[in-house]
Amino acid sequence: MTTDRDAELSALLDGALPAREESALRDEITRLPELAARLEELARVDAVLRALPARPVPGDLRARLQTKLDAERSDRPLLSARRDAAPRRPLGRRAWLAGFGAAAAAAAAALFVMIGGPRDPNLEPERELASKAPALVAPNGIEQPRDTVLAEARPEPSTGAIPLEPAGIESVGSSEPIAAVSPQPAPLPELAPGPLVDAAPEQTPSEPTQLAATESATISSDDEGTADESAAALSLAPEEQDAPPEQLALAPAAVPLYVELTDDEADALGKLELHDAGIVGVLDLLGELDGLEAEAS
Amino acid sequence: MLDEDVRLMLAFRDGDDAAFDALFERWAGKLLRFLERMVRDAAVAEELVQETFLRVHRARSRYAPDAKFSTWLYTIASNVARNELRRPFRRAPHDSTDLEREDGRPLELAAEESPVDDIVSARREGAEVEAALKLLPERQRAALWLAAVEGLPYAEVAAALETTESSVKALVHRARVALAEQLANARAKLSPEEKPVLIRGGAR
Repeated sequence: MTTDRDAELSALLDGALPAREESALRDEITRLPELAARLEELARVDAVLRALPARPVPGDLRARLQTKLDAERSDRPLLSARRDAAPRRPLGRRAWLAGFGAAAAAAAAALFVMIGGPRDPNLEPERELASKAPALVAPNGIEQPRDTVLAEARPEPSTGAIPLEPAGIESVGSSEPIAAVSPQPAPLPELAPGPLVDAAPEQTPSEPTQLAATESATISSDDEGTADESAAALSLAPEEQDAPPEQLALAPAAVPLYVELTDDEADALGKLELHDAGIVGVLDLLGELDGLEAEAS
Repeated sequence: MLDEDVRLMLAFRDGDDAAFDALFERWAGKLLRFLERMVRDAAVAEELVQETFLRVHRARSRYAPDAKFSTWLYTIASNVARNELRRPFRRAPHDSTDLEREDGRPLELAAEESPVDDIVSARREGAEVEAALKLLPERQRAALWLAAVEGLPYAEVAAALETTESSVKALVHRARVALAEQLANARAKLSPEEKPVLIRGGAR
């Protein structure tokens, strides 16, 4: 039976009442049997929960994790090497504000390229987009109906993540559709010069998994691990600027970025045109970085 | 003096891979149980344990021991679970512990298997509570589990769930009351001699 004292009794069970309130409540409990009975009912919940059978950790779980760690290491040599090189500090507030300007510029560049780029027949869409506006445009850099982009570029349809990856690089399972719609289908090495050429062939195809996030770099509201990637892609972080310029230009191409959307956001996005989606992506990304900053600290 | 988890994490940050193994050993089980309750699917929970440790691995160089390690870890795990639960087209959860029938109602123990002691009663109650737990809103489930089972102080639960202590207090309270209701209903169905002995002095 629910009582108006349940909240206090519950807090008492968790040892969360201030000392004075706790001792007053305990006095009451000794005087009022119904209060004592109610405390027992609530305590019983805890006892039953703690007694739930605990399934042992599967013996191969650590090995499965290692497989993913190894795959990640070979997938992203640039990023992991950079990360290992020097301990990073979380983005400070000032860096975040400075980054906003840079990201806004990136968004503007993305818009410009999306609108202007494909109309110029002399442009190589992939290279152009990858260098100017990483992570903000459709995979093949061509303006096309939103539905087509979202449907074809999505590497794992069940994730609901909207891929904002540049230029036909990677994402197991998505290279096929991208090549199909690209005017200049190009093999991976051409699109990924430099150190990435070495990295690409070593990629191990991801195992079928429920987690799209596992094999690909996923930007989500809490993904502290990929904060670096997002920062690199948008040239946000001041710390990134000491990296060789060619690495900065290349790193985004190697890291497909996704922005995870809530259902509401996805609905809202559905009402927007593609270039609006680019902006939404940037804003989301910025919001995420803000959250990451808090989480990392 | 640093707690053992913080010491291990700092060692891992500084290049000691064995420390990562030790952290996995210490925490994989608790994370698995927490995540199983969150996503209600054993296989997915295993994936999420891996994802949580992947994130720990990735974040190692940025780790600073300014919060309890458990708080940090549960923050990551909660976020991982939340992402999973928000994923569209998420596979419908199936029950890993065979406590449910296909129609989602708790499995009743066979009649001849009459409970003879508290263990069996507890198992029966466990099935009821487990089923009721699954129906709770995600945040109530998380808050109750972390506070009542893992024994985290409200401040830590609040940090892990990115909310306030007062809202944790309310979440835990609502969850506990809902499950107590379920237990009371379950007991009402039992004959008097089957009723389990209530635990005395449950406050800690």
